[in-house]
Amino acid sequence: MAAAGWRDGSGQEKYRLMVVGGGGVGKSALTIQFIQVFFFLQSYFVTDYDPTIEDSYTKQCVIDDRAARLDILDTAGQEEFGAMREQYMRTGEGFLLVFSVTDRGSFEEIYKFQRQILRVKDRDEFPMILIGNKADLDHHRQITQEEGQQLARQLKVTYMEASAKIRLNVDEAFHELVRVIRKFQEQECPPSPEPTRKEKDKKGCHCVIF
Amino acid sequence: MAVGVWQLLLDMGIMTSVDQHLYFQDTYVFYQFSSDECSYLYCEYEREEEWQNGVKLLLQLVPLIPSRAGICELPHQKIEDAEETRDEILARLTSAMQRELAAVIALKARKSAVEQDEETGDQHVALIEAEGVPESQAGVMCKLQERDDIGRIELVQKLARENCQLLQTDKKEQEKSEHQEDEVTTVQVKEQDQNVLVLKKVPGWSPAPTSGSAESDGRYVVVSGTPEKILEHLLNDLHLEEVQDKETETLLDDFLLTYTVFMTTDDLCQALLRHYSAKKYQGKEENSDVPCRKRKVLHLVSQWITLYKDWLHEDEHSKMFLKTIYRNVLDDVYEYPILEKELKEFQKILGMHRRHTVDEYSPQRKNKALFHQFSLKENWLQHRGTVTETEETFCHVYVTEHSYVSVKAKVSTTAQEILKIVAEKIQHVEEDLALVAVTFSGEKHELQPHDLATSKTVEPSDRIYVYRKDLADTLNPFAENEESQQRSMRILGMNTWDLALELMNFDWSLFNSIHEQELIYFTFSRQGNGEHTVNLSLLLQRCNEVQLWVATEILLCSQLGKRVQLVKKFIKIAAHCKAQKNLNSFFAIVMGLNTASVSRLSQTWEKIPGKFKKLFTELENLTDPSLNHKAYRDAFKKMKPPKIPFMPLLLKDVTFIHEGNKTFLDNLVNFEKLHMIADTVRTLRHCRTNQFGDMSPKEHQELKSYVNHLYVIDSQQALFELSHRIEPRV
Repeated sequence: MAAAGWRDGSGQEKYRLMVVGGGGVGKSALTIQFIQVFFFLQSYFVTDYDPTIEDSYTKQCVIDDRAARLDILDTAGQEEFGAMREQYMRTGEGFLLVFSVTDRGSFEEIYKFQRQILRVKDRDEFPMILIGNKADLDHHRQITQEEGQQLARQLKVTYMEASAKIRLNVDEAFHELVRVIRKFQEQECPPSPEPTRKEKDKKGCHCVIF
Repeated sequence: MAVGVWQLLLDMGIMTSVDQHLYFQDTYVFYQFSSDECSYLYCEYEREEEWQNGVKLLLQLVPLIPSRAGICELPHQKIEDAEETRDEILARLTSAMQRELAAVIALKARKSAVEQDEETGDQHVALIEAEGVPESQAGVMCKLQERDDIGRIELVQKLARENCQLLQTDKKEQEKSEHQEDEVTTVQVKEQDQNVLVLKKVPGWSPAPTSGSAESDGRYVVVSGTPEKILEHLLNDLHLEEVQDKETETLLDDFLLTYTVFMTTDDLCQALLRHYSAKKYQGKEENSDVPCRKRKVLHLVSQWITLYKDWLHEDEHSKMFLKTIYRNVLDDVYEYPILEKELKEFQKILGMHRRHTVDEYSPQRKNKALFHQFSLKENWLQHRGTVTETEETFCHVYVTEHSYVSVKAKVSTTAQEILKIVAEKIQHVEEDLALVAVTFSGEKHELQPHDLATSKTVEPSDRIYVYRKDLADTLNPFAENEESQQRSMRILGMNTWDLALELMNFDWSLFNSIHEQELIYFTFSRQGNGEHTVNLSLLLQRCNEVQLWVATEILLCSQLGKRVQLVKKFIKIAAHCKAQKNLNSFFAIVMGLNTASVSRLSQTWEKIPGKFKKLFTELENLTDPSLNHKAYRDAFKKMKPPKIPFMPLLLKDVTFIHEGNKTFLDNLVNFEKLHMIADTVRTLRHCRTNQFGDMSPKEHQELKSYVNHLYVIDSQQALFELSHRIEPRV
């Protein structure tokens, strides 16, 4: 089952974005902050977030004047058990590689995730951006901004620092990823004929390699 | 007059003083209605006119009670002004108080069979506007201030059957009324100007046939509160009948499942002991409240033990607590024979089967009985204390650098037993093989047959290898070669339905041993050492291993034709797992077939018949994560238990409930969040409602052993190398 493609019948763009990173980097916090627009408007002690309902991980956005529905895939809570990660990687169309600037271990893990994505996608490159999370905790920083930039250059991706806690660059990160995906898809499949899908293409990418 | 009414209530046992005063005093004393045994279902004073009758009845009775000299001077001369006074009294009562009073009076009136000819006077009774105060049932406390000044009564209201004190000045009361008009759905209970409990009205059904009452068509659930107040609220709500109402049952379950999040076990034990021993009264006979409260505490404890099973025995506080409370019950049962039922229940749960009679607790025999019981209990505790030793783990015996045989082993399993399983698995003569533990730094030491393979001699970071004695110098004599080929062939001769059944048997035994609390611990103590999540981890490991097993089997098969057979076989097994409602293995197999190193085998997939491809697409659709795994959630909901859920998703749900909602706000526990978590945890219970019996028609020893001890390659890199070897990249 490949990704749903970027347009459904109504012509609306749909993207599946996956948040990738080790345990404790604040993946889920990023996802929740992004999804929960009305977080601060909620009234007294109403339970804000129910992750078991259909649209708990979905958000409608307008990015560069184009509307899109974003479906966020996040494996938070099961880092130790890789079962779901690869499944999500197969379906994801773009990836936020997240590490915590306060944890060098999580920074070093990024290579591993990037390689796994490329392997799952069987591609040499794929839409990704690198996120240094917890940027608000400056005094606990183990990874400098420069190191982040350097890794991003190696991986040929954009680097952004974010903080789910103070809501820094949360929307921006997801929006930027959508731009990268759009650019990538335009390069891969120039607009015009309806993209055809090979039956055996099971890697979650509907783009045909020539 | 008012004092007389209160005194009457006190005498009749309708109201009791918290401090066990016999005489009513209009001063700083707390009084409480005793209506635990009162049913509101058939309270004839419920309706307005009946209420008036009730009050009339009371007033008529007042002159009949003897006045207590020096304590309570009844102003008899005022009886003529009854009507007026009545208005005055009633004006001070909230509707909650009214109902409370009405119900209790009704009950007592029936009981004492006081026949009264009720006149149908059209007295005007000033009814107070309903303040959105819920129908209350038990234990209103009121604080009466300043002697002879009933106008200054501060009502300490019972809110939503809650025994909380809502201390308000007259001014505040007005504020509250306004506030509640705006927000009729929540009730905030304050103590010293701080919220201590917030309740929310939920649309619901009321069992009471009081159709006229707008207040009774909703029930209240806890939104937030301090741990102590939530517990107090819970204890008040408990009924002593067999069946609890749904809200209370849920509240009890929510509380017990999640209390570890907001209070320590020690805190809970202390609080329960406080509640149990509260209101020790001296010398008053008609006080049904004390045993009632005790019984409620015991009921809660029983539920607690049932829910936590062996876990409570591993905690020193709870062990101590169980001893203490058990001793207390033994002490009390003489005084309150009614506790015997709870005592027996308690003994049953604690696994003591000895029968007791009240006689045994007579003062003469008490010490002996106590001593006997106590030692019995000690034994029981010690016996259960060894539970951890029967815990199981997966022991990984590495055959090569990246592949191992996974053996489910107890702590007491010896190296020899494990070696036997591994030898059978890799089809080698056991005598030629030995196990060796290799430390992280590379040191090796051979395990003797009687060594415990999971004991302290083997560090968690050590790896156990199996090696051939004749090739002792090389650690890894087993390469992914022809021998592996042989292994792959074995599955082709096996019946797929039976194989799926064995998978189910194995998964079920793991799933069934998961404590409900493991999910809570998993979520809330992620930085912890994995203590208390052992069984959960096993099932998750199993899920990973099944996935790896599928890939390993397929990638070890270098003949294209056989490989196609294998893929077809696994598609069938996945379909059977779904049919058998084992969604954990179902997901694992589908994900194994979809793993990058397998899905890239285009030559293999091309040769899969259309029928199988179609079936596989259907199965795959169930694993589609779109719309928050809608396909899976919908399908799973429809399945009847027993069934095994896809555990990683359940963990994701709990994790996001936790991350997405605060546990505390303004120092109150966000109980709505805990309710959501408890609801998710209850999924486990629902799945296990019916037990899964061993469905395999006959004993398949070979099949069982094959499925129980999976041989897997656990390195993605190694799997990819194999994949590229059998079908090179074009």
